Amino acid sequence: MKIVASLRVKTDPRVGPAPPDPTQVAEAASIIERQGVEVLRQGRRSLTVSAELSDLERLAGTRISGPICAIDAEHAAADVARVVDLLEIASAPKQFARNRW
Amino acid sequence: MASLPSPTNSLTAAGPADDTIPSATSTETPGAADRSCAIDDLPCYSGWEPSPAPTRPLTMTTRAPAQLSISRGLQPQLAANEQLHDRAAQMLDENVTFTVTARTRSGQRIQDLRGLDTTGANAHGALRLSDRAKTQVPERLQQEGCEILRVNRYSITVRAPARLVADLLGQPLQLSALRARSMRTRSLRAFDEVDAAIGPQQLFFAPPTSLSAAPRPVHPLIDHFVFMPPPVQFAPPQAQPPVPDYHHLTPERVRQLLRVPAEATADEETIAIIDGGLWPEHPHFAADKYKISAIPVPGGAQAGSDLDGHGTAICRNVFMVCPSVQVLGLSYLPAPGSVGVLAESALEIAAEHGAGVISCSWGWDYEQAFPTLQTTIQDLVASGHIVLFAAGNGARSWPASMPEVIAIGGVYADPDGHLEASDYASGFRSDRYPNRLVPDVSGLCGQQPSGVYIPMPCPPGSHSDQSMAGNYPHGDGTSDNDGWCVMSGTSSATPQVASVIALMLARARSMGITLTPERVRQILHSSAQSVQAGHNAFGFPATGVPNAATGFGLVDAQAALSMV
Repeated sequence: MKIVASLRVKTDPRVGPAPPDPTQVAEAASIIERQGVEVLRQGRRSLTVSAELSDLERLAGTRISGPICAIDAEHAAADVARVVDLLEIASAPKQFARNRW
Repeated sequence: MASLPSPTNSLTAAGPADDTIPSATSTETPGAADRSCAIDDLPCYSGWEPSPAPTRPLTMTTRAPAQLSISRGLQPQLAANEQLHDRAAQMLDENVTFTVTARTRSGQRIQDLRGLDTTGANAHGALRLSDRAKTQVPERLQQEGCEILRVNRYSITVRAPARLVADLLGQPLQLSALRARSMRTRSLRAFDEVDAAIGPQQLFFAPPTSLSAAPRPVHPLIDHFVFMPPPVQFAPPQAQPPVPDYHHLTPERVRQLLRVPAEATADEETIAIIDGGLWPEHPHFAADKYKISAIPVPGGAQAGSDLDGHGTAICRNVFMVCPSVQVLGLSYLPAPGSVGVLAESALEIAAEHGAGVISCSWGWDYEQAFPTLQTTIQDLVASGHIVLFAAGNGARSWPASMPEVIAIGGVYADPDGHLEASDYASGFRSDRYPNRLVPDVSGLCGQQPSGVYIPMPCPPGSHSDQSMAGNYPHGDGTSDNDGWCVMSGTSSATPQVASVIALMLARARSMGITLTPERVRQILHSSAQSVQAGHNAFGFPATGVPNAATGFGLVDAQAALSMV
């Protein structure tokens, strides 16, 4: 089963909260694709990817046990850890018409 | 192939033959559109008798067989339904997509196996197209003016103008519609007996007496042209909503309660609805000529589909407030076979498509947040897009609690118009963001137990249609596959407010000014109708302004527009 996830592209802390340069995002996409993970879309700050859980864990360098997972720089591939820092796998949100808790 | 009777021999004419009406003759260049042959001039087959008082009298030519005709059962519907008539007229000049079967590897004709077990016959791919057929047939069809869409394993998918196809067939193509109910007979005679009201999407072209026919000798390797009617999934939904016998809101009442000025429009504004899907083909949207379309998201579910029905349904709330605004629907769901959420992509793509207002009727409970999505939303707001999220129905919902978004709660109006907080809607003080009170303002929302309040269109038999079926007040009293559900929640309140904001943006545009998201929020706060009765889903009372039940109150379009 493929999982759709977001990979946050690292930004330079010196430039504050501004989004990364598009070339940085493109470079990150290229690196991720070389890891064998499909990049569905390059966003302004993140990459939307689709992969099996095992591939995402390989990318992150760690077991994924929750929706938000920091890239483990020690165990992830060096160039991956250089360009992305967070992996998010969101569960389907609730819709607010007939659902009620 | 048996030749068909010419229309002049088999028809019961509606009137004397009219020699002044131009016909499509056999000497006509294949593919040339005969724009003078309107839908009203087409003959019918099979002894069609005219309906008692057709609004558009038919005339026929006797000079030559027509290339196109209309099935008997369809004729009265075209006369009575202008939208159907217009769609049928369009189809005369459009392309027909059909399947060509050709010589197989084994030589057995695949059409001869219809209805039979083909497992043995297809051993070792014996029924696949032969190599010669795969190359020669497309080539020949292209020479005839057809477009080859795909050479499949067992057939060739082709597209060509309807008149060209009729010419290749050597017989007329008939415009028909599939019956919604099960056919008493499998023969094509059933298409002569279209009795249920049909929608434009059910129209299709096929030869008059069979869904497949051998064409004239275009190429020796071609066996048949096969025409498949659009599949019947559910009973086609009605364009207009049901009228329940319990208290519910109509568009007029919504505009009255939200105080929408009659003259307010937002023709040039675009609202994006990001949800689980959108089915823009629901007859309701077409009937009232709403501007609505689905935008694809890479890796996402097919644009234009909506298995749940929620996204399709809530769009009606936009048009109830402002019929002239454009709505784009984007899905956050991934394609089948994948799990996860494409919310960031959908939001960014919505902005790229020019949506000034982005409306989201979903979220995660317990204010569960996702940093990348949060940053995406913050970026969009910082760049001037107005992002709305529903507060929830008994959930402490995020991203509604983000300070940058406009959070929408619910207010209920009883039959006399008295306003009170909806006990179905959420409102709370955020645990995540200091001093953040949810909601900002409210739209209209039903009450417990199920918020049954506003009739909304949905794909027939979708989850929304099915889950709301049942007796009022727990259900909506409609059937589970009629393409309508009566529900509400903060899901419906949010697009109502989005539509009011679109009116504000349109007013600002006409004045040459730009409204920032923060200015929009301030105006909504300052102009809302205070609601000081009732309590929300958590029991918080609507006391004071703002309050945790309704925020600053029910949105007031007239007051908001006056402050632009």
